[in-house]
Amino acid sequence: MPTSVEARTEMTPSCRRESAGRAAPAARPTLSDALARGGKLRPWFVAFLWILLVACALVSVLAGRYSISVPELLRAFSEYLSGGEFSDPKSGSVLWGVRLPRTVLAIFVGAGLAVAGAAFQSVFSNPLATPDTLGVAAGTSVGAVLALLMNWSLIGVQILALVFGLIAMMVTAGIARHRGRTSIVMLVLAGVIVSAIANAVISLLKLTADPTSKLPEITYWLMGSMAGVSFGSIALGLPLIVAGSLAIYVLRWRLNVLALSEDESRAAGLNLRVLRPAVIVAATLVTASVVSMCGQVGWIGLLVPHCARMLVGNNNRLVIPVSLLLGASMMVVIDTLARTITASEVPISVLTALLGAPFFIVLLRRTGGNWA
Amino acid sequence: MTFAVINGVFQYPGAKAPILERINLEVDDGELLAILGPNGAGKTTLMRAMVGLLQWSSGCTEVDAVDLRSMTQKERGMTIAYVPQARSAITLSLTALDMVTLGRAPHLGLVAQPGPRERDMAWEALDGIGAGSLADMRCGAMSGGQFQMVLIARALVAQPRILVLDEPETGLDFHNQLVVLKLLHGLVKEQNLTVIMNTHYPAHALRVADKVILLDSEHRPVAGSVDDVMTEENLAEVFNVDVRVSQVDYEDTRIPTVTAMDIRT
Repeated sequence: MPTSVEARTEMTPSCRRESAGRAAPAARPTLSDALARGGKLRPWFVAFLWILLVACALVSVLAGRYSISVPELLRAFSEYLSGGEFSDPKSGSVLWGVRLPRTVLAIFVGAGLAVAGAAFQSVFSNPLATPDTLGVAAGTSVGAVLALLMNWSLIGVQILALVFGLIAMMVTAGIARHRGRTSIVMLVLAGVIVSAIANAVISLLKLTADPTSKLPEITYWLMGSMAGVSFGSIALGLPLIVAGSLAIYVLRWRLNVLALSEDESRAAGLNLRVLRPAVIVAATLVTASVVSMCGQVGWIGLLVPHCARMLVGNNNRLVIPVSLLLGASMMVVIDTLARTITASEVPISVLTALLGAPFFIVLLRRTGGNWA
Repeated sequence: MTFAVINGVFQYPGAKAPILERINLEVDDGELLAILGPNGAGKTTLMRAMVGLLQWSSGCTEVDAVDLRSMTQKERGMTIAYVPQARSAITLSLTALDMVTLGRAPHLGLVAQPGPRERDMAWEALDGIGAGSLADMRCGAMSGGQFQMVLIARALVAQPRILVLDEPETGLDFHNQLVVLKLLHGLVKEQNLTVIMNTHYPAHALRVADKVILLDSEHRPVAGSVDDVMTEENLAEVFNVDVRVSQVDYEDTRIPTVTAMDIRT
């Protein structure tokens, strides 16, 4: 038997012949090569995503029924920082009381939902896993509606939403797991079932709600809205979104290992009994907190991570930060549209579905789903 | 370094009888153990049980006389690298280099990110087995043979002392089967690794293995050196076919091979 040195020299040409690898002249530079290199995003691309977010946020703050100019914004900022009175009380109160909290909330909601979606997709090795498809969003809504009916505070709403979200998650995962394996289709079907049950329970709860005060509140809230937030309510909700997203962010490279088969991730030294639930709880935490603050905001968890994958490939080390920034920008744009395109507010979930679904269809048709 | 299974018994929960019984084997550095047996004899189960992916019902696996169960998941990951059957990577289509870099996971802290050092190691592992040209290719776009090379590189980059492979050459064409076999043989003889593989091909075991464990459907495993185990009688008994073991002269070497002659009635 020849030694392996000989074996190697024999092997090299065969692999070259078959592949369009780095040595082959025919290799076409891909989009992800342009945006990332050596497992890291290119600095200019990161800068671009940040500038995009800042630009979206700026437009969002300035645009609206009461339009504010850039000089007015700067004046209001300097007056706020110097601690003095606003020379124009109306623009000052619109900025601080309405626009800024809303834009800040949109940034964190978009970033959080996108990261949660990417995390669910990795943990379940399933390109269709999102807070919506897994029934987590519907489950958290049950908890939140229940807490709203009982007039609980925002903290209470968040906790009950989290509890119900985790229950929904466990039920979905339990239904889908068959003989120790979970197929892509089974998981999505289980999610549909759990969502249907949760939505039925929500309808039942709505029946018991006071039709003059509670019912409209719950109905509008369920459709998703960022109206009426203040810095005070944000301060209660954001820590959980930040904590969940941060946990996923620091584990982003490990998510790649989690996405392999169970045997492979265990053989790679991963403690699945700890890591998998940790990621699921983190993603559910983000979802629960978002739902309790602004209702059901669909599509972001599916759309944004897939856009990120098309840009930078499947490495979660890159997908997570890109999803984070892209999700934030997209949510800000959608919320700005929600409050500016008509005289009254358009529910966010209506917009995300109307804009997101056709966009997703175009992506699917153009790529045949091959990026996943 | 000695890898040993002592009195291994494995029974699936709810099953009437154990699927594996009386499993005793021992492999040293620089030795290749092949697991052979008909479909359903428990080859993959044996493999998963002996690397700790399944718990033995009784008996144990020892590495240098240390029970595998007393090692942490991380320690196991650093000692034993497992290469599953190469199925196509649909859900996570990383590039080969990213995929191989994942093999460093046992060596990195929980929240650590791989740096240039890990990427260099991944590149060397890929290039070292002659698959460097695949580095930027997406796993989803690879042929079975190419993907198998990537999985082997991913296992090697963890710098394990024991490499365990589940049917590494199944589904590959004639050429790539030999590529994988020679690669494994080279790792054993030159880098002094312990390699354990299961295979459907007795000829492959004859060609590269030092030791063989032959599983049969009646739970009477035969383990030992390749010459002791791979006899015409044993193979005929286990696979229920008449076989001839022969030698073929090729250049300066004699290559042993085995041919199935006819189905036993």
